[in-house]
Order: sequence, then structure tokens, then C-alpha cells
Amino acid sequence: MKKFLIVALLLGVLLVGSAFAIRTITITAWTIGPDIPSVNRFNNLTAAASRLNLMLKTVGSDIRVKVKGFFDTVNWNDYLKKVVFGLQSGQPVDILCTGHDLIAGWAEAGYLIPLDKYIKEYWNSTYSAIIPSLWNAMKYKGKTYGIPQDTEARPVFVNKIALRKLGWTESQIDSLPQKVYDGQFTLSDLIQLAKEAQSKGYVEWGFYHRPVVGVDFFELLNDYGVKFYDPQQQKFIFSKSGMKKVLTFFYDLTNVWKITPTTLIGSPWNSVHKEVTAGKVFAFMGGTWNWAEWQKVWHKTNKELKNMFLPIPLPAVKKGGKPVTLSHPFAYMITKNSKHPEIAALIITLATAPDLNFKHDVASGHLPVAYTEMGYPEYTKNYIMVQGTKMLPFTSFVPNSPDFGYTTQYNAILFNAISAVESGESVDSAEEQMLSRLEGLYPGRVIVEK
Amino acid sequence: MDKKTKLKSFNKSLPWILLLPLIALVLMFYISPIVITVPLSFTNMGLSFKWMFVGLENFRNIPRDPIIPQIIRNTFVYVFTTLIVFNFGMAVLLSLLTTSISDKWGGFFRTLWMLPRITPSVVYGLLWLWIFDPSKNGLLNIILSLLGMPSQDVFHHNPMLLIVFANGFVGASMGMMIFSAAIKAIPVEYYRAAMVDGVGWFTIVRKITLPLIRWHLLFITAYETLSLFTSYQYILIITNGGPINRTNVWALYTYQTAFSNFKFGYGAALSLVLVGVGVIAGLLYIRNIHIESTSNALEI
Repeated sequence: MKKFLIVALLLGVLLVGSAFAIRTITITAWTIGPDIPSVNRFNNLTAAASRLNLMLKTVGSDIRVKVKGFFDTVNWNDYLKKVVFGLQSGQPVDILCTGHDLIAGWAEAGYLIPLDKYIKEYWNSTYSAIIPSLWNAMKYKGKTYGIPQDTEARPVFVNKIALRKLGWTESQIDSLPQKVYDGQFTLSDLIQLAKEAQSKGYVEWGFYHRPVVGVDFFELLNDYGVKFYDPQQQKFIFSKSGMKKVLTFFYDLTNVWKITPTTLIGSPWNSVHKEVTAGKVFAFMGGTWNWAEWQKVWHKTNKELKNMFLPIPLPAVKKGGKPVTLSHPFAYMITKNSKHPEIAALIITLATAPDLNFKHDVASGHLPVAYTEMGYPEYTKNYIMVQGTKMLPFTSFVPNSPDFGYTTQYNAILFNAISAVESGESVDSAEEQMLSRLEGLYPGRVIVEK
Repeated sequence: MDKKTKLKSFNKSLPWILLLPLIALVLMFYISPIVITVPLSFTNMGLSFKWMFVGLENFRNIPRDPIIPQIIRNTFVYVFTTLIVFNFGMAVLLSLLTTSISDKWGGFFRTLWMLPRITPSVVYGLLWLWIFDPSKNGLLNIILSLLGMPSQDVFHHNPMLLIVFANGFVGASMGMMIFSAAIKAIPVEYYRAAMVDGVGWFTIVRKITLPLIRWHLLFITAYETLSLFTSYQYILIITNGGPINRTNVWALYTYQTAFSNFKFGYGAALSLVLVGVGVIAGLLYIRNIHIESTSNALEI
């Protein structure tokens, strides 16, 4: 009898205990920088979970949410492999945070779930404030698969110290961006200045671009008005005359004007940043996030950077034309493997709170995705953010198609052609190789134009 | 069945029982990937991981792929230069030299040459990247500038050389160890007799050492050829096949196709070609390595 009473008592305690037990739901998020200052892409999700838990506690719920996962700073390919094989092997991944250009390929492969119903649900509270054009970058075949997390512009950072040495006054320097926006200062004007600064010994090199494959090079295609993809037909366009102009620009950089070293392509990023931040380069095609990188990794102060660099969009090719820049918005996505898509959507929504997103933007040199973020006094004080936002009307995105993004080969083919001409191969030969490679890889899907 | 028969039967199956874990591992990690690769190569499997059979399409696309001739050229240059200069040539030289000096110093130099092999691949690759960084921040260019010499850009002008050296410094140590052990196993009387006859070092090497380690030389040649055909990790880290595919080899291109571009079907077809080349090369080597004949190799 005594034993029975003890067992009954223990069971009773267990039952009462379990009635008050807290149930924890784990949301797994796999995010990437790869730039280190973008760590808040992950941290904001954990902050969102804390806010959600506070709400749940306040209303007396027995559910708590925990966010686990990682923020990848290694490289794109490693992250993509983790995602592709992780999802296929049934890993319980709920949230991904990566570039918008992966949406099409991943949505087509069935990795992602559409988020339209969640966007509708939280439209008034959160998503109505998102800059409308960003939603276009989140869509594939009429459905929305991403929530904008950040965006950026890719300015050309002009060396102000060299401009001063060239005799430019502060007011002339300050008025340069407007001249670029008005189309009065062209790409060839920039090149002329770069040549002059280099020949007079004010800088070691006139013009730098990224040393590895990436979407930045599409800026030149856009600047020269070269259409390279038809999203309706899902076919590549190869404009022989247009591509010739673009490749000639890169050929001239190293072989004619000699303002870019032939060794730039293939150099480690660290070498590039070291030389740019040391003022050895006149113009560098970078991104707004470099501003944060240069502060965090290269220990430059905001004051030093403002004194050294003038961010402008890539000037128009023709006088009176429009300058260009390129944005590569990041997005939160929910995977097909998520067992709690509603909670994942709620976490993303809370992580899209203007204060959290703004914290990320400031720390990483990215631009706001919501108008509500622009209301912060810190926004107007943040030089690169304000300058970057001014460039957004001139921005374009990578096409939303499975043919683009890090998983596809167009970037690599274009980059190879650029590498070839910069190392001295003729434009005609590089163009021919590029076309033959495209046609070989995408038979029947390349429209060749004169 | 009596006890004796049971024991006999157990003894008979004991080798198989002992070998079972190894057989399972070989089946799992060596045989099954090949078995899976065969049907995979007849599909256009991509990101969706769907088995859509396309017949011989992937194999037909290989000769149509404009990069293939360059990949084949690079592969042969990479494999045979690394093999001849380092994995075989340097290995023979090192083993001969380190066994010609005292054991203490011989062991010291062999240990030095083992360092690249025991260094993690990524660290080793990054060291090469830093040494040959074409900007002024590279170690080589820092040293050259201290000596008042112009900067060198090996990365762009001789990328294949960089790859061959990086792989060769690792590869040479394997042959060096095998050859050194083989040389040390040669009865010392042969050398003493030759020295009494007044034979010089080169003649001793040519007439005694090399004939007696012939089997090892052939084995390393075969092993390293096959190994180099499938190796790409240092190329991936140092140049990733660039610049402009100038260091891209068949194994790396296969890897990039499957795991960077996620074209698993085409990647599988490319890897099957490599398996075919490996099998043919392996058979040729087996046919030409006559273990039994090496015992009679000494002709003094």
C-alpha cells in the first residue's frame, strides 16, 4: 500500500509538472555573409526569438522558440553545398538567408515554400514598409519566396586624396556625384582622371575591380546597354557588338590604358583591400558593405574613409546617360523541410523589425529594405547608407532565373572572358570562346545578335 | 556435425569474418559510388535531384563541350610533369641522397620533406597562395623587392608550374619513403663488394640500387599516375582551375560540374571517363609490373 502511494504521488508530481512544462520549438537557420560584419543576419533571428518568447511568456503560453544554426563566413560554394545536400538529406532547416538570385533555382527545385500568405498576414504590421521594388527580386513565377533582408549598392569609390592632388577643390569634389547622376561625368571621364592620377604618380593604379567571379561585372553590361538574358523565353542573349564593347573596356584597362594590373584577377581579396585602403588606387568598383569591412577589418575610421573616398555610381557611358549600379538583395527564405513554417515566418517577420534590420545595416554597410528604417536619426548621419540609398533609383538586379545565381555558369563564363582579355588575349578570341562556351552549355538557348 | 568439423568450418570462414568490416567499408566507400555513378551518368540530375534518364546525352555532350580539349591538355601536362619531375624523379633523388648520408641526417631531411604531407591541405594551399601572391604583398615579391629585383607574377604567367610544384612537394615524399625503405633493405654486402671493386657512387646506383628497387619504382609510377589523375584538392585551393581554366584538370572540372554547378548527371559522366582511364592505366601497369622478375634484376 505504501509503495502504491509513493508511485501514485510520483506520477501525480510528474503529471502536474508536465502540465506546467515549457515546450521549446527549435527553428534552424542557415545564413551566410560571407562578409564578417553581416553576422546580424543570424543574430537578428535569435533576437526575434527572444522577442517572441517574451510575448509568449506574457500571454502565458507554454511554448518557447529557440533559434539555432550558423552564420557562414567561408565562401559561397561551401554554403551552397551545405544547403543543397542538407535539404536533400532531410536536415530540419527552417530558414535560409542568402542572395535573392538563388530563389529561382531553389524554388524550381522545390527547396523553398511560397511566402505569399505570410506576407499578406503580416502586411500591415511589417511588410507594407518594404521598398516595393525589392519584392520583384523575391519573386519567381508569380510567387514570393523571400523576405528582403538587406540590399546594397555597388559604388565606385573614387580616391579623394588623388583628386585633391589633381587640383580639385572640395566643392568640385562634392559636386561630382551630382554630375554623375546627371550624366555629365561619364565613364571615359573617370578613366581619363584615373590615367592622369596614375601618370602623375598620385596613385599606383587607376582602376580596380573585384579580383574574383561575381555579379559586379553585370554592371558593365548594364552600363553599355547590353541585354544578356530574356527571362520570358529563359534564353541568353549574346549581342556580339555589345559584348565586344564591354570586353574592349576590360582589354583597354590592362593593355591600352594600363590603369589596372594584369595581376588583379586572381589576387587575394586581402591584397586588393590593402591597396585600396592605402590610397594606392584611384577608383575601385566595390560595394557599400566595403565601408563596414574597411572599418572592422582594415581598422579605418569613418572619418578617414570619408576623407579618402567618394562613392559614386558607375558613370554612364554616354554623356547625358544614366549611371548604373547593381543590387543583390539578401532574403530570408523558408525551406520545404521546415516543420514549423508559421513560426519560422513569425521569426522572420520579427527579425524584419526596423530597429533590428537597421542595426544590421549600420554594422555591415548595407542599405535599408524598409522605409521605416530611414526614420532613424542615425540613418541620416550614416554617410555610406545615405549615399548608397541615393544610388538605388539607378540600380538593377540579377535576373530572377534558375540560369543565374551562384549555382550557374554564366557568371563564370563572363569572368573567364574578362580574365582572358585582361591578360592580353584578343577581344575577338575571348568573345568567340565565350559564345562557344555558352552555346556548348546551353544548346538552343542562346540568341545571337549582331 | 561434430566439434572437429565445426572448428574446421569456423577456421575456414574465419578469414572472411575478419575481412568483413574491411569489405563492408570498401563496398560502401569505393564500390557503391562507382555503382551509383553509372546510372547517374545517364540522367540530367540537377538541383532537384530527380532521376530523369537522358540516355547517352551526357556522353555526347563531352566532346561538344568547348573546354574539354584544354582540360585534356592540362590534365596530361599536370599529371606527367608532376610525376616525372617530382613524384618519381625527385623521390628517387631524395631517397638516393638521404640513404647515402648518415641515418641521423638522412632521417632529418626525410622528415623535412614530409612536412608538406602532414600540413593540412588548406593551410598548405594558402601558404602557396601567400608566397606567390602576384601583388607586392606576396612573400616571393617581398623577398625580390628586398633584393632589388622586379616582382614576379607566377600565378598569371606560369600557373601550371605553381600547381605542379605545390603538388610535387607533397607527392615526392611518398615515393621518397618507399624508395628509402627499399634501398635500406638491400643487403649491404652488395655495396661493400662493389666498393672493394672500386665502383663509383653513380655506377653503384645504376647497377645495384635502381635494379633492386625496380618493383618499387614501377609501383610508385603506377600508383602516383592514378593518384594524380584523380587529385585536384591543391588546384582547387590555389587556383580553382584558373586563371581562365589554365590549370583546370579533368578531376577538378568534374568536381566543379557536380558540386559547384550542381549538374550531377554530367559530372557523373565526366567522372566515369576518369574511371575508365584509371582502369585502363591500372591494367597496363599491372601487366607491365612483373614482381617475380624483379628478384633477378641484379646484373653485376
